[in-house]
Amino acid sequence: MTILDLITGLLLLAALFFFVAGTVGLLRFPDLYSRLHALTKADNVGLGFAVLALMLQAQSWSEVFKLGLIWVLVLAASATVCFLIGNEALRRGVKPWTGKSP
Amino acid sequence: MTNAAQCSSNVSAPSPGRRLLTRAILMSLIWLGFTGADWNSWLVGGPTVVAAAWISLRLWPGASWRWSPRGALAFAAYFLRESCRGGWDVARRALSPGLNFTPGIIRHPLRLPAGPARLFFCTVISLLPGTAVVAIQSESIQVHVLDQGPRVHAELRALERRVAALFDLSLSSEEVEP
Repeated sequence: MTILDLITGLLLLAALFFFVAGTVGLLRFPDLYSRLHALTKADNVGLGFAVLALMLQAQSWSEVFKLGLIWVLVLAASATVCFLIGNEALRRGVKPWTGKSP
Repeated sequence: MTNAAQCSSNVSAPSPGRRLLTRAILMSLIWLGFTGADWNSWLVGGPTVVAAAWISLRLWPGASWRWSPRGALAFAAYFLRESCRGGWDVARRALSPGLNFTPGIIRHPLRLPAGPARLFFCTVISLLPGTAVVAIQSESIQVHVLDQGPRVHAELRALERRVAALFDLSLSSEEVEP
């Protein structure tokens, strides 16, 4: 177990924390719009930490680049899907929760 | 067809052939990154790169845009910091007891010109703390926020300025009628 493995482990724990928090948010947040926040933000940071952890274990620079590219592409896809779902909900007249009703 | 409905704001637009070449080179670099120095992979990669470049030009014939490398570096640092803040913010809200937020949909006037800069701005908003774009109109966007308040508009303004710096643009006016 080298120091690099230790850092990898810590980064993976951080990733795990954000994925769990994002999932808890997905279950607990009051409406569709807030749940979108839980998915896009927490999971992106979680994936970022996971990618960093795997980069430390990569065998070549090509793998490091690949992992980085995967993160950027997932970010782009996640922001786009977030907009598409939110936009469709708004079109269909889904009212955002404002905390006033029970 | 590709040049028809283009409102060009840039100085000199490169020819479609040149744009296709630029995009093909970019796609080739991505393929190279994915496959390493495996030359057999180009049996698949070659046609894929050409098809991807052609489709991207069909879907988005817009001319290339300027961007500043210094702005990009500054933006990357800002983006990483804000992403962490956004993730932490959502994690804190999800794990703390009670729902301590006042969400809602707000309207934010746009100052960036239509095109890649505006699209990029809208994409990044959804990745930053407490904001997600839910509708894009010609003059404004609708943003779902986890906490309504005056700080949201200030933060969106700040992001807008950074995107303008990244794309080497000057914003039309500092203050727009609300």
